[in-house]
Amino acid sequence: MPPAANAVAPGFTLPRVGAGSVTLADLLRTGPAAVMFVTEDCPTCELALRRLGAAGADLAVVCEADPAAAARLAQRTGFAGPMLCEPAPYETSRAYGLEAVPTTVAIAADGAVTAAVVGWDAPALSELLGIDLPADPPLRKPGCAAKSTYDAAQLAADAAGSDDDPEAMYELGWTDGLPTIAPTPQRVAAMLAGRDPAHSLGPVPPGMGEATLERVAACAVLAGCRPEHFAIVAAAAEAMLEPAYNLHGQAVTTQPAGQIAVVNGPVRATAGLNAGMGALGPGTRANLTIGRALRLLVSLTGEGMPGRLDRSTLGQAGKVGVCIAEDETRSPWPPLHVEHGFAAGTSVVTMLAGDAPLTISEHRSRTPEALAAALGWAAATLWSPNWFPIGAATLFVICPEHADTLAAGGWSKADVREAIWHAVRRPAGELRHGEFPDRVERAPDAELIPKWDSPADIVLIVAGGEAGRFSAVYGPCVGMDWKPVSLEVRCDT
Amino acid sequence: MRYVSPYDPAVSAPVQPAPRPDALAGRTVALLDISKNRGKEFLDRIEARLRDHGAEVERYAKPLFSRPASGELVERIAGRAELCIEALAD
Amino acid sequence: MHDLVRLEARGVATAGVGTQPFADEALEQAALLGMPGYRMVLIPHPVQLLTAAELDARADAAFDEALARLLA
Repeated sequence: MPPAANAVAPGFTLPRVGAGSVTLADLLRTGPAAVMFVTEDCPTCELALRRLGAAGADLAVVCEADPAAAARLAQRTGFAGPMLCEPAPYETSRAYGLEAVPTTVAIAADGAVTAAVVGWDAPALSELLGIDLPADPPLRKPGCAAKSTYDAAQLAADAAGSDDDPEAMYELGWTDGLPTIAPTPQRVAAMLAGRDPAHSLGPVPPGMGEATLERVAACAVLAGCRPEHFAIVAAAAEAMLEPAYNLHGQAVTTQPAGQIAVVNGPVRATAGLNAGMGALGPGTRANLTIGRALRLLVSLTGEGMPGRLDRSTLGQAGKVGVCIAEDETRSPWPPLHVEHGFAAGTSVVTMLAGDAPLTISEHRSRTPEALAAALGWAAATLWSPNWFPIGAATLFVICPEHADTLAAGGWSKADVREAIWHAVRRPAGELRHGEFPDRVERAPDAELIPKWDSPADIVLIVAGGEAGRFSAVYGPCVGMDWKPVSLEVRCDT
Repeated sequence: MRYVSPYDPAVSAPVQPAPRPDALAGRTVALLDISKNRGKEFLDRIEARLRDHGAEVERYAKPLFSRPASGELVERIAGRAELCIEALAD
Repeated sequence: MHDLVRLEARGVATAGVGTQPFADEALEQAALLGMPGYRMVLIPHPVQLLTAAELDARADAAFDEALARLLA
């Protein structure tokens, strides 16, 4: 229990961040004082330090941590008052009977305790500190256990690893091979931003681990996402778990296919997604970490780790994760989510499945017909050269210059799809080599078989830099009976 | 330091094997075809051998090999059969 | 393997038949899903190009093993 009123406040001498050390007597030299005990990794302590610092409260802080951690906390919260630190074994905290942080103790000039407040309690702290804290929510918030209450095992675990030790993540196997960010409770809470951690999106194939939002958030932290990315990750995870998407088939197949997230709508800007130059490549945190979070959900929560339940013969780099934003401003056509029936101002993520992208260089076609045929024929050997039709949705990413050429003749997206579909067809007799579908087997030699069952299997989005006539097509995921799934990204939850 | 695990501990919760009968005679055996090539012929032969041993045989098929059987299919089999042979994963 | 473990959990004795390249995956999945001792009945790979008589011979060999898995 924190000290009761009129008890004598235990004395202390503690190092001060920045310079020297401070005693309780120092603090009482000019009259009554207030001391707030905190830890470095408690969200309520952070809140308290930010609010009290902003209100100009006059108090000293004792952080149960080493000087470096206490300094980080002061910097992170902008708290400019005296920040003292008390590393293990926390004798001062124990002397004050500390159970939880933050705990704020008011001490009269004669050293007698006048009051104590546990947790964040704005009205009580206003009274205790003699200030007027604004009535912003939350007015009250419980804190965390004080480090001085940890038993030996907790202390050892706390001392063994710092939050940011990627080796600890490798030891746990919480990685796709690249370093991951440790999912501390604080980081996961920040990612969830008030969402219900126990809410389940359903079981994740292939291992069928339950995708609680807390586990989805843990994957997002591991992947390096920022909290503003999480609405996309959560919606994409929900889309992946729709039966029509057949994540199970994608996750265990010997094919190299991975999951591809396409993002439309205003959330592209708030999340910081890049739809411009290098849209499919490295360089942008949002694109890389959102895609990676989704794959980590499959590999960790879903237990679909390559070489174990994931049986992919070769795999491919895109299986680390792919998230693409469509450049709706630059596109001459309605964006993908509008084609799927959503309002233009709605944020939407569409989950597709596919292999690595194949780049299509085409600098000479001047007509939409010629360019559509070139794009289509580049895709003609996808999956396998005689596999006509593919029988799966195929994603084309059209660069702005190509989009201009295709739209110049007044072509709609539907016209482009139709033209690509119509251009790429071969006589059945020429396709009966190696691997080919039943339809080729049954067809007369001269029958022209298209590469896609219908134009609807051709998915078009626009992205990429202004300069350069390079579009791309993602190899399809064949034979898995999956369908693209679009879901709204709800940013208000 | 405590971390929030991305894993679900329930995935690996132990499952007790079903009881095994002493003989096939009079028992109902479900044959579950996962719908890969040759599985049907393979199970045709298994069915004949089971009938030789006096078992009742019921045939089931998954619509697509790449998906787990639906809960409904599992329940249908569990409601009718004591034994099940699933084939043919290749 | 999901199907088999779910059926076992529902009280149905099972035998799963697959080709040898599936052995590792099956063991991995069985352990992961809570039945670490579960063994598939394995036949030689490949089966796609076998004649009907050859396939029947594989089925006969698998049948005896499957009985061993299914009966006490």
